[in-house]
Amino acid sequence: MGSSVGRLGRPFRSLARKSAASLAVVERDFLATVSRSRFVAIRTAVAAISALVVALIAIERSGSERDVIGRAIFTAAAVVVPLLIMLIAPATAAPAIVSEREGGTLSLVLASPVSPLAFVTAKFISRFLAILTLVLAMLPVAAVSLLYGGVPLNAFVEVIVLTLCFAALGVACGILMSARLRSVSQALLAAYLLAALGPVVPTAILAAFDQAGFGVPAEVIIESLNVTVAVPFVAWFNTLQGARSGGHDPDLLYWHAAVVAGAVVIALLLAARAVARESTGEGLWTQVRRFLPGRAGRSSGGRRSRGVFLGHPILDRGVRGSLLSHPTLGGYALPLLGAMITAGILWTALETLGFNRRGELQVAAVAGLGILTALGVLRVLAATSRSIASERRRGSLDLLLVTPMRSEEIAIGTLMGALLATSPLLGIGVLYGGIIVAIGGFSVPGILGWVVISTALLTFAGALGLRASITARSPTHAALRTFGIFFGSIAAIVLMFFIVAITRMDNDFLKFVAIALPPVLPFYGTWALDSVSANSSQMPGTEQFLTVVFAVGGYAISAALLALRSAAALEKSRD
Amino acid sequence: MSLAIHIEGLTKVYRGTTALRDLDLSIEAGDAFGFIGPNGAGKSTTIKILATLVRPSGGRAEVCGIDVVRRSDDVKPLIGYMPDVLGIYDDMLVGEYLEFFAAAYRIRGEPRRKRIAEVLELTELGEKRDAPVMGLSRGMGQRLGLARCLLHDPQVLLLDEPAAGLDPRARIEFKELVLQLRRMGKTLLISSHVLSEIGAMCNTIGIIEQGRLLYAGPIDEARKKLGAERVIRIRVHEEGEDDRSANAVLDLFRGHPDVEALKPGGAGEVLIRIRTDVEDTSFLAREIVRADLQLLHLEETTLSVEDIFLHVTQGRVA
Ligand SMILES: Nc1ncnc2c1ncn2[C@@H]1O[C@H](COP(=O)(O)OP(=O)(O)O)[C@@H](O)[C@H]1O
Ligand SMILES: [Mg+2]
Repeated sequence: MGSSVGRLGRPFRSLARKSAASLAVVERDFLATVSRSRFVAIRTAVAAISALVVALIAIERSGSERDVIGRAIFTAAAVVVPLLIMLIAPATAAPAIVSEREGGTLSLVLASPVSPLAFVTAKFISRFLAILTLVLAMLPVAAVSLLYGGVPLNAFVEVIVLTLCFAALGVACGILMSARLRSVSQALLAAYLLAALGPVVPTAILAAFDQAGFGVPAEVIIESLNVTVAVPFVAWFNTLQGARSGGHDPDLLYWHAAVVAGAVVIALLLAARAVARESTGEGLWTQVRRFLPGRAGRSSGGRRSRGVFLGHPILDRGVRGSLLSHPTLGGYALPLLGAMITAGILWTALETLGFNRRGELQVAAVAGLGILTALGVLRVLAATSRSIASERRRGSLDLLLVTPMRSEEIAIGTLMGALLATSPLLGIGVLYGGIIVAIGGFSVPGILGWVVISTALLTFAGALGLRASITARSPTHAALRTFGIFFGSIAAIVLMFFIVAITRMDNDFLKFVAIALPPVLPFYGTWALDSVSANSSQMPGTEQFLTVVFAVGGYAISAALLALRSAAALEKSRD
Repeated sequence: MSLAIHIEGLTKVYRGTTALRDLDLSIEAGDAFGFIGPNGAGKSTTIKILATLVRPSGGRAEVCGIDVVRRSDDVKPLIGYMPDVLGIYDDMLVGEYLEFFAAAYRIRGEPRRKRIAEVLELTELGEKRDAPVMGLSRGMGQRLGLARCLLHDPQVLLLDEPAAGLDPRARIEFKELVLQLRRMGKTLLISSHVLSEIGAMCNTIGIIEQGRLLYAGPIDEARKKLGAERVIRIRVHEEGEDDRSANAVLDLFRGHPDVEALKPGGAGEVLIRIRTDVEDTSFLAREIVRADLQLLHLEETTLSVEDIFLHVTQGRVA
């Protein structure tokens, strides 16, 4: 015991001694991250769209119901900003160490006077700073709620602190998994799993107890969650509630921040240990991993060679390649669990915390579906962007091109395979939406509309990824491009904050401009369809119909054109 | 005799770099053609053009009389292409890999099952059917690549550097396979940057450098014309003078059926010229050990591409 404490203490001493060296790592890494054109472009886009929206709303700011609108915007921002950061933080951190290892520079760094802990800490700081700039870019948007009033300033500050907690947790999980796993995609999925599952499991268990009729009091749930990493979630609800009722508990938030800080320190120590073991043999994790299915140590033992079942070889491979791999199963288990738990939390909130206003529940429900769509886009982009580029890298693309298959077949088969492999997410969304319908916060047409529009959006995203994959120089290049597309689209998703404000706009033209921004469409379309069934008078029928037709038609046509252009690009690679 | 491959004035320019200049080449059906040249000579480019993977900038290329550019869809079923990289999916089993490509060649149902069993047997990979493709040795990977090429029973096989990186044993197995394919009537184009690597598998060779064909013709003729020879340098330890040790070796191998000629090389060394059709030279070391001589040095000096170039270009200048 004493020796293990000593082992943990040693990195601290070396950290102090070598902080100068690690500062160099922070600086290099941060500058490398920040100076990427993609990075600058995204921040600029977020800022520009924020400015546009602020302008739109400033024009629209009508006299009546200002408090209501302010609170609605704040609630939406308090839901969406932390969720987005939760999504982006692990993604920003996951490549940090894996890519150094792939590039062979990790051993160079480790051979230098920089200690493993100093190294992972430096990575953590640089990626955290990068996330911080994104949070800052989104702040003006959320701050619009202050313009309207009805929101206490300290609630606003709490949301920022909370967001930073999520950022720290996500980055730490990304760094930890990056230190332990071999590829960026594995590290990314594992980081999501850790960042979201860790907090969520205790919540789920307690919520399940509650649902099963054991009558766990809400205070017990909250108190027990306080000692887990689930605290950001609790704090989140606390803040959301506080914003509505005016009452909140800042002490709780500080406690939460402290717990997160502790979790970050533990994650970094574990990451440092993993990096330190790199050269000295097999770590515990590697040994454990041997027993997991689908790992490097896999023998042919249990598996028999299978035929091509899904008719077309490319389609078959696309679906099975991503559906049957171990990390992917985790990648679907997580959203399923997350959706179920979110639904459970909404349910519990409705029952015990008095969170019973249909409008706010609806925002939460639509945001949940939106997150699923965003995850789906991420998955489809990851699958398609890898597809052709990695075939090319491996040398197997030539093997496909010499077969009698046409390039259209290869392009469309790849796209369809990626879509089919992502379709479980739509199923999860339907399940989740069904629960929300049962609670009474949503409608069946709303869910169907979400499925239709999301399918169109996923097809469009897949076609974009496919095209990037075909024209990219390398798989990494293709991944960077498509993640650029994804994070770029986040700029427009920021507009979701204003979904309530948009629905209340009087000026039809401005309203249309706001709606027509592509990533907003699925959410807005869902919202629009839902409001029909709810007999709400928020907008006339033709407008809702047009929104859906516009979204589906626009995405479908663009996707078809992109897929055909991809096939042409594949053909052109013969030159 | 009909031509399996016919290339006329073939030129390929990649943005700025000229990979092929005015290449002419004909390979008769049933031949095993060794395509020799240093790295960057244009071998892969030629093969890719024949495989419909690269569009030529000028000239004409035909496989079995069919133009590879204008009628690429008709050429595809006729060729089996093995690139210089393995092109392997790391998450597949051997059987799945072949299933996948059989489906890509539109072979379905019962014929597919039968065909896969056939190629697995031919390449002696039957036992590896349920093994992960990743774990195969270089030699087995090469045989799997060949199995993939043969799925649709093509007439012409285009093999890009198939023998690179194979150990001597795997190379002998690979040679056996090539000879068997020749007996089945296939035409083979096999590229390499070392003549000795594929010399024993081919009956004709072509030498390419900087996108130009320097020589093409039967391999025996080439060897004769170029004075090609496989010479082995041997030195053994014997108490006393250098001459005595040299004589011991000379006595040992004089009149040996695989030895064409031998002579003392000075300083106790013996140079032994091996017959061109002999692949395995391990008998030399065996005999020396059996004769109780202490082997100090044994080195094979094969005719390198560089030697051939020298000969070919000298021939031109003269
Ligand atoms: N895709 C390409 N783009 C640009 N240049 C290429 C490309 N492929 C080959 N080359 C160039 O063409 C020449 C011939 O290459 P290659 O046919 O691969 O030679 P070999 O197979 O004989 O080693 C080389 O100079 C190489 O650099
Ligand atoms: Mg080559």
